[in-house]
Amino acid sequence: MTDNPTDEALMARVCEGDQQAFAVLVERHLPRAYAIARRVLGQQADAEDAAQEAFSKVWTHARDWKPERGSFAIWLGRILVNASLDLGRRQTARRQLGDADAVLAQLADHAPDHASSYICQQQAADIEQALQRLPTQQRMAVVLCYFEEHSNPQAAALMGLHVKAVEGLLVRARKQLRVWLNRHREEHV
Amino acid sequence: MNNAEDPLVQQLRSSPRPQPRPDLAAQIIRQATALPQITGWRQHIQRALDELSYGWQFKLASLALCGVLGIFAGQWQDTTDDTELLVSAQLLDSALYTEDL
Repeated sequence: MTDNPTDEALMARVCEGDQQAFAVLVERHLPRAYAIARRVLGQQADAEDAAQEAFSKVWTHARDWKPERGSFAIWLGRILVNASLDLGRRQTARRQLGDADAVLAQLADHAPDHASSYICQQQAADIEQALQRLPTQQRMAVVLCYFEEHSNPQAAALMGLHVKAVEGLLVRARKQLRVWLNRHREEHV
Repeated sequence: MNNAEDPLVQQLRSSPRPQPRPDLAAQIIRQATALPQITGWRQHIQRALDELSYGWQFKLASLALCGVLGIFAGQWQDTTDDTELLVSAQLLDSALYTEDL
Protein backbone atom coordinates (compact mmCIF):
# COMPACT_ATOMS: atom_id res chain seq x y z
CA MET A 1 0.00 0.00 0.00
CA THR A 2 1.30 3.47 -0.85
CA ASP A 3 1.73 6.09 1.88
CA ASN A 4 -0.62 8.51 0.20
CA PRO A 5 -3.27 6.56 -1.71
CA THR A 6 -5.46 8.42 -4.15
CA ASP A 7 -9.13 9.08 -3.47
CA GLU A 8 -9.99 6.59 -6.20
CA ALA A 9 -7.92 3.81 -4.59
CA LEU A 10 -9.47 4.58 -1.20
CA MET A 11 -12.99 4.53 -2.63
CA ALA A 12 -12.34 1.11 -4.19
CA ARG A 13 -11.55 -0.13 -0.68
CA VAL A 14 -14.53 1.69 0.84
CA CYS A 15 -16.78 -0.18 -1.61
CA GLU A 16 -15.47 -3.38 -0.01
CA GLY A 17 -16.36 -2.06 3.45
CA ASP A 18 -12.86 -0.92 4.49
CA GLN A 19 -13.42 1.46 7.43
CA GLN A 20 -9.76 2.57 7.55
CA ALA A 21 -9.91 3.77 3.95
CA PHE A 22 -13.10 5.66 4.77
CA ALA A 23 -11.40 7.26 7.78
CA VAL A 24 -8.55 8.50 5.57
CA LEU A 25 -11.05 10.02 3.14
CA VAL A 26 -12.95 11.77 5.94
CA GLU A 27 -9.75 13.18 7.47
CA ARG A 28 -8.63 14.39 4.05
CA HIS A 29 -11.85 16.07 2.90
CA LEU A 30 -13.57 17.12 6.13
CA PRO A 31 -11.88 20.55 6.57
CA ARG A 32 -13.02 21.77 3.16
CA ALA A 33 -16.47 20.16 3.42
CA TYR A 34 -17.01 21.64 6.87
CA ALA A 35 -15.86 25.11 5.77
CA ILE A 36 -18.35 25.11 2.86
CA ALA A 37 -21.24 23.90 5.02
CA ARG A 38 -20.35 26.28 7.88
CA ARG A 39 -20.29 29.32 5.61
CA VAL A 40 -23.48 28.37 3.82
CA LEU A 41 -25.47 27.39 6.90
CA GLY A 42 -24.00 29.88 9.36
CA GLN A 43 -24.38 27.62 12.39
CA GLN A 44 -21.76 25.19 13.65
CA ALA A 45 -24.32 22.51 14.55
CA ASP A 46 -25.99 22.68 11.12
CA ALA A 47 -22.62 22.51 9.36
CA GLU A 48 -21.70 19.42 11.40
CA ASP A 49 -25.06 17.85 10.48
CA ALA A 50 -24.49 18.54 6.77
CA ALA A 51 -20.97 17.08 6.90
CA GLN A 52 -22.26 14.05 8.82
CA GLU A 53 -25.04 13.52 6.26
CA ALA A 54 -22.68 13.87 3.31
CA PHE A 55 -20.02 11.47 4.61
CA SER A 56 -22.65 8.97 5.77
CA LYS A 57 -23.97 8.92 2.22
CA VAL A 58 -20.45 8.39 0.90
CA TRP A 59 -20.21 5.30 3.14
CA THR A 60 -23.68 3.86 2.51
CA HIS A 61 -23.82 4.68 -1.22
CA ALA A 62 -20.13 4.05 -2.00
CA ARG A 63 -21.04 1.77 -4.90
CA ASP A 64 -22.95 4.58 -6.60
CA TRP A 65 -19.68 6.39 -7.27
CA LYS A 66 -18.31 5.69 -10.75
CA PRO A 67 -14.78 6.99 -11.44
CA GLU A 68 -15.55 7.51 -15.13
CA ARG A 69 -18.25 10.07 -14.25
CA GLY A 70 -15.91 12.38 -12.33
CA SER A 71 -13.48 12.61 -9.44
CA PHE A 72 -14.37 11.68 -5.88
CA ALA A 73 -14.01 15.31 -4.80
CA ILE A 74 -16.67 16.39 -7.32
CA TRP A 75 -19.01 13.57 -6.21
CA LEU A 76 -18.56 14.46 -2.55
CA GLY A 77 -19.01 18.15 -3.43
CA ARG A 78 -22.38 17.44 -5.07
CA ILE A 79 -23.58 15.40 -2.09
CA LEU A 80 -22.44 18.11 0.31
CA VAL A 81 -23.98 20.95 -1.71
CA ASN A 82 -27.32 19.11 -1.84
CA ALA A 83 -27.20 18.30 1.88
CA SER A 84 -26.35 21.92 2.72
CA LEU A 85 -29.03 23.38 0.45
CA ASP A 86 -31.64 20.99 1.91
CA LEU A 87 -30.66 21.95 5.44
CA GLY A 88 -30.58 25.62 4.40
CA ARG A 89 -34.16 25.43 3.12
CA ARG A 90 -35.30 23.75 6.32
CA GLN A 91 -33.59 26.31 8.51
CA THR A 92 -34.79 29.36 6.53
CA ALA A 93 -37.97 29.59 8.57
CA ARG A 94 -36.30 29.22 11.92
CA ARG A 95 -33.02 30.95 11.18
CA GLN A 96 -32.30 34.03 13.16
CA LEU A 97 -29.26 36.11 12.61
CA GLY A 98 -26.80 35.52 15.41
CA ASP A 99 -25.52 38.61 17.12
CA ALA A 100 -22.08 39.84 16.26
CA ASP A 101 -20.69 38.88 19.66
CA ALA A 102 -21.61 35.24 19.17
CA VAL A 103 -20.01 35.20 15.74
CA LEU A 104 -16.91 36.89 17.13
CA ALA A 105 -16.66 34.36 19.94
CA GLN A 106 -16.96 31.47 17.50
CA LEU A 107 -14.39 32.91 15.13
CA ALA A 108 -12.03 33.50 18.01
CA ASP A 109 -12.44 29.88 19.11
CA HIS A 110 -11.91 28.37 15.70
CA ALA A 111 -9.33 30.56 14.06
CA PRO A 112 -6.99 32.01 16.65
CA ASP A 113 -4.08 32.22 14.20
CA HIS A 114 -5.85 34.23 11.52
CA ALA A 115 -8.14 36.49 13.49
CA SER A 116 -5.54 37.77 15.90
CA SER A 117 -6.66 41.38 15.96
CA TYR A 118 -10.03 42.76 16.96
CA ILE A 119 -10.39 44.62 13.64
CA CYS A 120 -9.82 41.43 11.71
CA GLN A 121 -12.39 39.65 13.83
CA GLN A 122 -14.87 42.48 13.41
CA GLN A 123 -14.45 42.43 9.63
CA ALA A 124 -14.85 38.67 9.56
CA ALA A 125 -17.99 38.93 11.67
CA ASP A 126 -19.40 41.61 9.35
CA ILE A 127 -18.78 39.40 6.32
CA GLU A 128 -20.27 36.41 8.10
CA GLN A 129 -23.41 38.35 8.99
CA ALA A 130 -23.81 39.83 5.51
CA LEU A 131 -23.30 36.39 3.98
CA GLN A 132 -26.03 34.88 6.13
CA ARG A 133 -28.51 37.49 4.91
CA LEU A 134 -28.14 36.31 1.30
CA PRO A 135 -30.59 33.75 -0.15
CA THR A 136 -29.23 30.19 0.15
CA GLN A 137 -28.40 29.72 -3.54
CA GLN A 138 -26.51 33.04 -3.75
CA ARG A 139 -24.65 32.16 -0.56
CA MET A 140 -23.65 28.78 -1.97
CA ALA A 141 -22.39 30.39 -5.18
CA VAL A 142 -20.32 32.94 -3.21
CA VAL A 143 -18.86 30.26 -0.93
CA LEU A 144 -17.90 27.96 -3.81
CA CYS A 145 -16.51 30.65 -6.14
CA TYR A 146 -14.94 33.16 -3.75
CA PHE A 147 -14.11 31.31 -0.56
CA GLU A 148 -13.29 27.91 -2.06
CA GLU A 149 -12.04 29.42 -5.33
CA HIS A 150 -13.86 27.07 -7.67
CA SER A 151 -14.30 28.27 -11.24
CA ASN A 152 -17.82 29.22 -12.31
CA PRO A 153 -18.26 26.03 -14.39
CA GLN A 154 -17.09 23.90 -11.44
CA ALA A 155 -19.51 25.65 -9.09
CA ALA A 156 -22.29 25.25 -11.65
CA ALA A 157 -21.58 21.52 -11.89
CA LEU A 158 -21.63 21.17 -8.10
CA MET A 159 -24.90 23.09 -7.80
CA GLY A 160 -26.54 21.42 -10.80
CA LEU A 161 -27.07 24.78 -12.50
CA HIS A 162 -26.11 26.39 -15.79
CA VAL A 163 -22.96 28.55 -15.69
CA LYS A 164 -25.00 31.61 -16.64
CA ALA A 165 -27.29 31.00 -13.67
CA VAL A 166 -24.29 30.88 -11.33
CA GLU A 167 -22.91 34.08 -12.83
CA GLY A 168 -26.29 35.73 -12.25
CA LEU A 169 -26.29 34.57 -8.62
CA LEU A 170 -22.77 35.96 -8.13
CA VAL A 171 -23.62 39.34 -9.66
CA ARG A 172 -26.68 39.75 -7.42
CA ALA A 173 -24.78 38.52 -4.35
CA ARG A 174 -21.86 40.94 -4.92
CA LYS A 175 -24.22 43.85 -5.41
CA GLN A 176 -26.14 43.03 -2.23
CA LEU A 177 -23.01 42.36 -0.14
CA ARG A 178 -21.46 45.63 -1.28
CA VAL A 179 -24.57 47.56 -0.21
CA TRP A 180 -24.79 45.86 3.19
CA LEU A 181 -21.08 46.06 4.00
CA ASN A 182 -20.84 49.73 2.97
CA ARG A 183 -23.94 50.62 4.99
CA HIS A 184 -22.57 48.74 7.99
CA ARG A 185 -19.22 50.53 7.66
CA GLU A 186 -20.87 53.95 7.48
CA GLU A 187 -22.98 53.22 10.55
CA HIS A 188 -19.90 52.31 12.58
CA VAL A 189 -17.62 55.15 11.48
CA MET B 1 -10.95 34.70 -12.89
CA ASN B 2 -13.98 35.14 -10.63
CA ASN B 3 -13.46 38.90 -10.17
CA ALA B 4 -10.22 38.33 -8.27
CA GLU B 5 -9.31 42.03 -8.53
CA ASP B 6 -12.61 43.15 -6.99
CA PRO B 7 -11.90 44.55 -3.46
CA LEU B 8 -15.06 42.90 -2.17
CA VAL B 9 -13.93 39.49 -3.42
CA GLN B 10 -10.48 40.07 -1.91
CA GLN B 11 -12.13 40.97 1.38
CA LEU B 12 -14.21 37.79 1.27
CA ARG B 13 -11.16 35.67 0.50
CA SER B 14 -9.15 37.15 3.33
CA SER B 15 -11.66 36.15 5.99
CA PRO B 16 -10.57 33.17 8.12
CA ARG B 17 -11.66 29.68 7.15
CA PRO B 18 -13.92 27.94 9.69
CA GLN B 19 -12.27 24.85 11.15
CA PRO B 20 -14.10 21.73 12.33
CA ARG B 21 -13.72 20.77 15.96
CA PRO B 22 -10.92 18.20 16.39
CA ASP B 23 -13.16 15.26 17.29
CA LEU B 24 -15.69 15.79 14.48
CA ALA B 25 -13.92 13.45 12.03
CA ALA B 26 -13.90 10.62 14.57
CA GLN B 27 -17.58 11.18 15.34
CA ILE B 28 -18.50 11.15 11.63
CA ILE B 29 -16.48 7.99 11.00
CA ARG B 30 -18.04 6.22 14.00
CA GLN B 31 -21.62 7.15 13.09
CA ALA B 32 -21.28 6.56 9.33
CA THR B 33 -19.62 3.17 9.58
CA ALA B 34 -22.34 2.03 12.01
CA LEU B 35 -24.72 2.23 9.03
CA PRO B 36 -24.98 -0.70 6.62
CA GLN B 37 -23.56 -0.19 3.13
CA ILE B 38 -26.19 -0.44 0.44
CA THR B 39 -25.31 -3.16 -2.05
CA GLY B 40 -26.94 -5.31 -4.75
CA TRP B 41 -30.74 -5.55 -4.61
CA ARG B 42 -30.90 -3.23 -1.61
CA GLN B 43 -29.23 -0.56 -3.76
CA HIS B 44 -31.98 -0.93 -6.40
CA ILE B 45 -34.76 -0.84 -3.80
CA GLN B 46 -33.18 2.17 -2.10
CA ARG B 47 -32.90 3.99 -5.41
CA ALA B 48 -36.53 3.19 -6.28
CA LEU B 49 -37.64 4.46 -2.86
CA ASP B 50 -35.57 7.61 -3.31
CA GLU B 51 -37.16 8.18 -6.71
CA LEU B 52 -40.61 7.56 -5.28
CA SER B 53 -40.14 9.74 -2.25
CA TYR B 54 -38.88 12.67 -4.33
CA GLY B 55 -41.78 15.11 -4.67
CA TRP B 56 -44.24 12.55 -3.25
CA GLN B 57 -46.79 15.27 -2.48
CA PHE B 58 -47.05 16.13 -6.19
CA LYS B 59 -47.26 12.48 -7.18
CA LEU B 60 -50.04 11.87 -4.67
CA ALA B 61 -51.91 14.99 -5.79
CA SER B 62 -51.62 13.89 -9.45
CA LEU B 63 -52.99 10.45 -8.57
CA ALA B 64 -55.91 11.98 -6.67
CA LEU B 65 -56.65 14.33 -9.57
CA CYS B 66 -56.63 11.40 -12.02
CA GLY B 67 -59.05 9.52 -9.74
CA VAL B 68 -61.42 12.47 -9.52
CA LEU B 69 -61.31 13.02 -13.30
CA GLY B 70 -61.97 9.29 -13.79
CA ILE B 71 -65.05 9.44 -11.56
CA PHE B 72 -66.39 12.50 -13.37
CA ALA B 73 -65.70 10.89 -16.74
CA GLY B 74 -67.68 7.81 -15.61
CA GLN B 75 -70.57 9.98 -14.43
CA TRP B 76 -70.80 11.90 -17.68
CA GLN B 77 -70.55 8.88 -19.96
CA ASP B 78 -73.75 7.58 -21.65
CA THR B 79 -75.42 4.49 -20.24
CA THR B 80 -73.34 1.51 -21.22
CA ASP B 81 -74.52 -0.68 -24.00
CA ASP B 82 -74.77 -4.23 -22.61
CA THR B 83 -75.63 -6.00 -25.89
CA GLU B 84 -72.20 -7.64 -26.05
CA LEU B 85 -72.61 -8.88 -22.49
CA LEU B 86 -76.00 -10.40 -23.34
CA VAL B 87 -74.66 -12.13 -26.44
CA SER B 88 -71.75 -13.54 -24.43
CA ALA B 89 -74.13 -14.86 -21.77
CA GLN B 90 -76.34 -16.48 -24.39
CA LEU B 91 -73.34 -18.09 -26.08
CA LEU B 92 -72.16 -19.44 -22.73
CA ASP B 93 -75.66 -20.74 -21.99
CA SER B 94 -75.84 -22.52 -25.29
CA ALA B 95 -72.39 -23.98 -24.84
CA LEU B 96 -73.24 -25.33 -21.40
CA TYR B 97 -76.85 -26.30 -22.31
CA THR B 98 -78.17 -24.17 -19.45
CA GLU B 99 -80.42 -21.85 -21.47
CA ASP B 100 -83.63 -23.71 -20.47
CA LEU B 101 -82.82 -23.86 -16.78
